Amino acid sequence: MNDPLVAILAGILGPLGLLAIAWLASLSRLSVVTQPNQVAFISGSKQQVGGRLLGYRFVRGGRGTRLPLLETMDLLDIGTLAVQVNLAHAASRGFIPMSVESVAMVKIAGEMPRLGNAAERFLGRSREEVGAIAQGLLEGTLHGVLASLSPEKAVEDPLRLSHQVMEEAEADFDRMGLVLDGFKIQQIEDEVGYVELLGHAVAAPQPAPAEPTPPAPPEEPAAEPEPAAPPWAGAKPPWEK
Amino acid sequence: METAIAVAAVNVAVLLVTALVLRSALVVCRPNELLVISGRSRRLPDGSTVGYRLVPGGRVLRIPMVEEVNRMSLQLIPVEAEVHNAYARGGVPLSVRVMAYVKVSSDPVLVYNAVERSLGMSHRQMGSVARQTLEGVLREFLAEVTPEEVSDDRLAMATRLGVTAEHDFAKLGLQLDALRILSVVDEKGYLEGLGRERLEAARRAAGAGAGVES
Repeated sequence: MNDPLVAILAGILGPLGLLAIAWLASLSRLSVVTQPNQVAFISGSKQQVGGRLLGYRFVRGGRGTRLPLLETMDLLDIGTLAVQVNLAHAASRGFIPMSVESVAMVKIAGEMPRLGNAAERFLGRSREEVGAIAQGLLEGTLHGVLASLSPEKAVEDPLRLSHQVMEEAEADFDRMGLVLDGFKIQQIEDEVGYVELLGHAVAAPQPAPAEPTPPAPPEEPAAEPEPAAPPWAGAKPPWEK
Repeated sequence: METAIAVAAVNVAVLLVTALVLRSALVVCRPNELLVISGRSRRLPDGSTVGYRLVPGGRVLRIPMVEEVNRMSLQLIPVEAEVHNAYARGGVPLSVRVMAYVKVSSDPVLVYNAVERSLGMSHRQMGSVARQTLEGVLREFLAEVTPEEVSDDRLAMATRLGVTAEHDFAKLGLQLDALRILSVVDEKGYLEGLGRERLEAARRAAGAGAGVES
């Protein structure tokens, strides 16, 4: 047992063995099992994915292990989010105010390259924040599409309205790494009863307007007298000035 | 036996030092950020020299005490901008509210602009710089369009506005992911007046129709 060679070997292998045991013991802490609606990003080593050089690898619905010190791991939840998109006093074509209730199914894309776009933008953000971003974008899109549609078309064909919203939002959603799985108009109505007036089947005769109808809008709007409050002015929510 | 213990001690010391050096010298870049490592000068493709390098992903060894590491977030920042009393063509003062989604550009050239201007800024600060820029662009843009155009054709107008703003954002190293016009209101009630016109016309037509039926 006094052979120096054996002693040196034991001296080298002993701590290395302990290190290996420590690594095995911490494997459970270093590895993660992700569900299909979760993605683990393990950053540190570079790899080529679909022509892009990425500084991380990702594991979706599987098992991944990171190397201690050399890699870090972050989780991103890519499950579907139901986002409520409601508008009030939104102008349709011709400035007839409408209110719309709709719901959208949004998720973060599960495959490259869109997942990479999403990782850049949303990793480290909560699901609520991602939902709020999708909601704001859809609200804007719905405002835009609605403003280009006449009120009767919007009310009669909500399916077309929702299709148009999905089409218009798609490019931006792609760029952000989001997927719009569905967009449904739940309720749409014009707030001043314009469409109802258009249909001739109005049961009761309309009361005469309280004031004589103003003349055709002058070319120079600055010269126009201050108009009376519109009929829907009282219905404004308190947060609108 | 003493030899074994001595060798083991040396071995453990080497392992510990390696781990400590790795810990302080190794920096890992997450998918949502960019590393800026300052301290050593580096020549850019255009010939100028800067005192830092950018690491867009992966890991990198820095020289402790010589180099310093900063992280730049690439996350998306929602920005709401609003102008009041911006004169559209025809002299109609409009209040327009827009929603923009910006982030630090991932373009390897533009990102230098962001690093030099906004390294160390919080999302809030970056958002407020982006908001002020956007408000300026929006005000200029509105002067060139009529209120009807901006209200009826919001999506196309938002796209045009985005193209106009792109140049200013590029100077800040920011990229515009999406832009939407949320509301268009005029303080003089011109647009609402148009809606009221329509409503009155429909009301008269319906009244006449009902009168004929009854």
